[in-house]
Amino acid sequence: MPTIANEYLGRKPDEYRILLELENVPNSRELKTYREHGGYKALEKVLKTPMSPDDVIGIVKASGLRGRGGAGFPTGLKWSFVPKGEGDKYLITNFDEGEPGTFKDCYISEISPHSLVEGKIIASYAIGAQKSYIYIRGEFHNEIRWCEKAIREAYDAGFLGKNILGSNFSHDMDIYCGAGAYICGEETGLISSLEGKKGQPKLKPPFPAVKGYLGKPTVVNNVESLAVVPWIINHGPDAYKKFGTEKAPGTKLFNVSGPIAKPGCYEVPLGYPLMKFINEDCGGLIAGKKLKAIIPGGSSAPVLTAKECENITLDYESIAAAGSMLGSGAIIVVPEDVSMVEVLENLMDFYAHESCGQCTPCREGTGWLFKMSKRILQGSANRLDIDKMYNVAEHMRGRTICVLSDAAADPAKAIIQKFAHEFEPYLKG
Amino acid sequence: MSYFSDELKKIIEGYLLRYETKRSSILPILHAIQDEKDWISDADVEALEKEFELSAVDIREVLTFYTMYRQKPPKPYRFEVCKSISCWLMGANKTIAAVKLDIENAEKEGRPLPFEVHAVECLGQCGYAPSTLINKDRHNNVTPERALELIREYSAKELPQAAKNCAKLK
Amino acid sequence: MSDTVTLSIDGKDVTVPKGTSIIEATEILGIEVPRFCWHPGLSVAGVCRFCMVKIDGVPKLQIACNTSCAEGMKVFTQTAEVKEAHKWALEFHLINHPLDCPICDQAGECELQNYYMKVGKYSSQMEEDKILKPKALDVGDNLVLDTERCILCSRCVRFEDEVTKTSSLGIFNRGDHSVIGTFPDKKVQHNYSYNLVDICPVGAFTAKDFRFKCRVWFLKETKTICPGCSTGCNVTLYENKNQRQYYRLKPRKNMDVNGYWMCDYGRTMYEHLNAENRLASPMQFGKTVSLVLTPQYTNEEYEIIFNQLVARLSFMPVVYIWRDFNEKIENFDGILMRGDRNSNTAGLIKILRSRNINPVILKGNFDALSEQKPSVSFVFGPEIEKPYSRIASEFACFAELSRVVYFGTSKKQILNNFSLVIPTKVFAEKNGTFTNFKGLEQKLKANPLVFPAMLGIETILSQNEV
Repeated sequence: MPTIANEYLGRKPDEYRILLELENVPNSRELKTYREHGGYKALEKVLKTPMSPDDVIGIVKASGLRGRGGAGFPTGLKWSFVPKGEGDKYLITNFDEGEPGTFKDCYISEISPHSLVEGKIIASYAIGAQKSYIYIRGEFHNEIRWCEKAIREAYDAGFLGKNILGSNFSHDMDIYCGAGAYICGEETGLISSLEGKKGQPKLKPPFPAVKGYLGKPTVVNNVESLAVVPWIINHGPDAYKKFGTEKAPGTKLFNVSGPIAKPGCYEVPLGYPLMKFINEDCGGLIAGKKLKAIIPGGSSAPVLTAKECENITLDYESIAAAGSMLGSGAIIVVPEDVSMVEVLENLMDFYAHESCGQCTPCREGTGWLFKMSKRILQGSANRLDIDKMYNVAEHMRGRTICVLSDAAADPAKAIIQKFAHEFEPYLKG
Repeated sequence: MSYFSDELKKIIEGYLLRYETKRSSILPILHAIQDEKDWISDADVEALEKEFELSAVDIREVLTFYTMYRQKPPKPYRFEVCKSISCWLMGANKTIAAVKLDIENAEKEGRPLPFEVHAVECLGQCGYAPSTLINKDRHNNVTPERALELIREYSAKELPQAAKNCAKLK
Repeated sequence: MSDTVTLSIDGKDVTVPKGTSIIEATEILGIEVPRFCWHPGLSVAGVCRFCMVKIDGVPKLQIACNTSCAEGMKVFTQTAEVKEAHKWALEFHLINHPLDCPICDQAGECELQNYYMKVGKYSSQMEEDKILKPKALDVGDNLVLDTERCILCSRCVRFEDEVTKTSSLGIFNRGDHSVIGTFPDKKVQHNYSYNLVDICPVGAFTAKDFRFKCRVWFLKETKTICPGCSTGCNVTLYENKNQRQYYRLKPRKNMDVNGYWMCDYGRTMYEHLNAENRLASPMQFGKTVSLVLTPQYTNEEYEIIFNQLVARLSFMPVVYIWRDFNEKIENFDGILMRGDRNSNTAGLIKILRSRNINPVILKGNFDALSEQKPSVSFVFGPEIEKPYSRIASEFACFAELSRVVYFGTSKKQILNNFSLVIPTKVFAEKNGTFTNFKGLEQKLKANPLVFPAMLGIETILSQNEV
């Protein structure tokens, strides 16, 4: 099996290491290694102290941890929505990493799958879930094996199964593989898929915390959100808040891709300056290329011009203020020599291919945007067609069950608006 | 007698018991069928309905929704090249074109390769672009040159068992 | 805690039970919020995204079908923002629609057309190539499917899942390549398939027995009761009044009887009404004392028959009830259709009881009738002959009697063996009452006669000397 070239190893100051603590450690995926570095101490602390589920939720709330999948919803608050008391509840890890530009969850499972497993057991204890799943993309053949192995090791060591570490808490964990559908990254689409159906998002209300998988209370958390939980339990919320900004505490994994000297997955404290990160930590653009634009939070995030990027810091608020979003933390670098019209066509192709087809504005709108962008590239569109495309995107927004429609519309609008001059040469008449 | 091989039948029965509902086993079962036969036919789906009381319409909905399931017999190796934004920025189109051309040329020269090429959406390896999959093997940073090397390497190997099963059933 | 909430919609107050959706509340007020996927008889899908409304204090427009009414809520269905949203929702539905209205049977009763006139009226902006999908698919004994016309509202899929529980339809593929369909080479096979044609808001499902027969705007509607079985589904009968030709029946909502649906068997109840199958003039061949009735006449007709015969004969003839030997009266399919395929068994029994008549039941065995050796028999035959599985041989039994006066509606050779054959009206041409299986009395409404000179039983029996 070919391994990934981690060219960026050892490049980050040690104090940033929370999620990637084991990055340079040999055999870091193995339980033995994980335990040598304090692994499963957090679980012991929770179950042996013992802490109550509310104590755990309280700590995670106090840490200010926000969901790392893209929406940035406070993780502790999400857990607290689950009704208390008896009955089946589920915790599902969203490992359907498919947002173009994003590969951080794969990296966590490559470095330290046990941090995910431990975080999942603690989160399950907090919400009272007897069963949890890792929903993982079917294309991630390596990661599936790594996660399966970690779960097996955790069972063998008594961290999963009946009466974990002699407590009253029993928990089972399983893995479920997707089969190729971006929409399963949407939490209710993921639940539909886990139920053996097409991955179509469900109407809300009801919300998953009340009626999720098989109609039972369900929490869906991103890999990164769960993998950081053991650290927070071990070190306390205050230690976590030492990193990051007041509204966005902690570190976050950022993925850099495109023509950049050192692409890869980096752990960075939230609030870190974007251009310092690009130019210093990631070594700037390759081959003397000039920066034209950055897509800051995965392909669904509206593009920012090089100028707009100048004073941005890597946190939810700063990027939102610039009119885009932090999203999954995927930073896609677009150089000066690439046509934004071609970028538009590439993005629209993706969303047209990935729309689940359920809601009319998205099903029809994504395909329409793609066809229009193709026609612009072919040189058979005029100025009115560009306005029309913007209008179509505008009317797809906020009209559907999930945000895939918005995720297609927003980048389209941003490119048309910010790079209007680049369309000129393609237009007829 | 089951329509499925003993081994596959055991796997299917395992999945039927593994999840909270039988319906949840549809995705894993389809993966298992494909692992054995390289693709999933209508006859496979009808046999699942008949032998295991899963709904053929439910299965067909799943089968046609997810892109990993193949509904036609494929070539032994599927060279999947990511064409999403990051890989595209890093020249995925060139890799795709090179693989396509290599396959076409070989075809013309009467020495067909056991390959088909697919431009696919994001494979989650954007920092190591262009990212590719050959069947279940991940290969990153695949330039056109590297792609052609990979085709030679795989072409020299013994065919995967699923491809042999697929050819036998045809 | 109160069980109701009061809200205002377009300034009109309405009080509804808790849990009522906004779209249900608008229905009560007679406000129409445009919709494709919502159907009152099915679960909420919320996918067409057409029924957008503005709720005071909520930033985004909401769909009326999946939003519950709340106390004090202010809903608006006609603001500029809402109207714009409706227009765009319609445009998204139409961009890949083939617009083949000139050859589509749904034209004239198509929701795409209707809403275009109500909330659309824009110039299409779609200049790209439309997506091509399978057309004219044979998906059942009664159904043809055009997946290009389909707007993927999923009503048909939900009907199959929720009402008939047959689940024979699915939505395959994804994105704008999604198509409705059955599993390859499988068909929709149940007794409720025409409902799919009714609930389809567009011309994706069309009825084989109506395709290319008649434009819907030539059809006049009559509200009546289905005579097909003892359930008495409320129906609308469609007739081209210029041609005096009946084309179809569709269900009419009555939550106490049939809900929104009717069965395929009931849909055939127009076939025997038209001229080609009807007795048009009296056929005289030969006098009487036995009375054979079938449970398909109206309560009023039974009263007239008894009153007139007793008045003229001054005694009550021996009364026979002719039923199918093979019928299973207690059968019920769990949805609508009942084993008693006669529309008015309950009405006939009630009238017989009130007159203290104990009829002889002719069910496969006609010995009682032939042993009586009647000099004249009045036979009121079944209008709907389908439930009489041995009708040919049973007609032969009547033909062996000395003088038979037959009342009926449908042509057939064997009638030549009777002394006198008198044509009568069909259910669609009568005013009267059917009593359904649970005793509910429902009114029929008369349409113009296919044969304008045709007389009703009331007139025939009062004019003719017996």
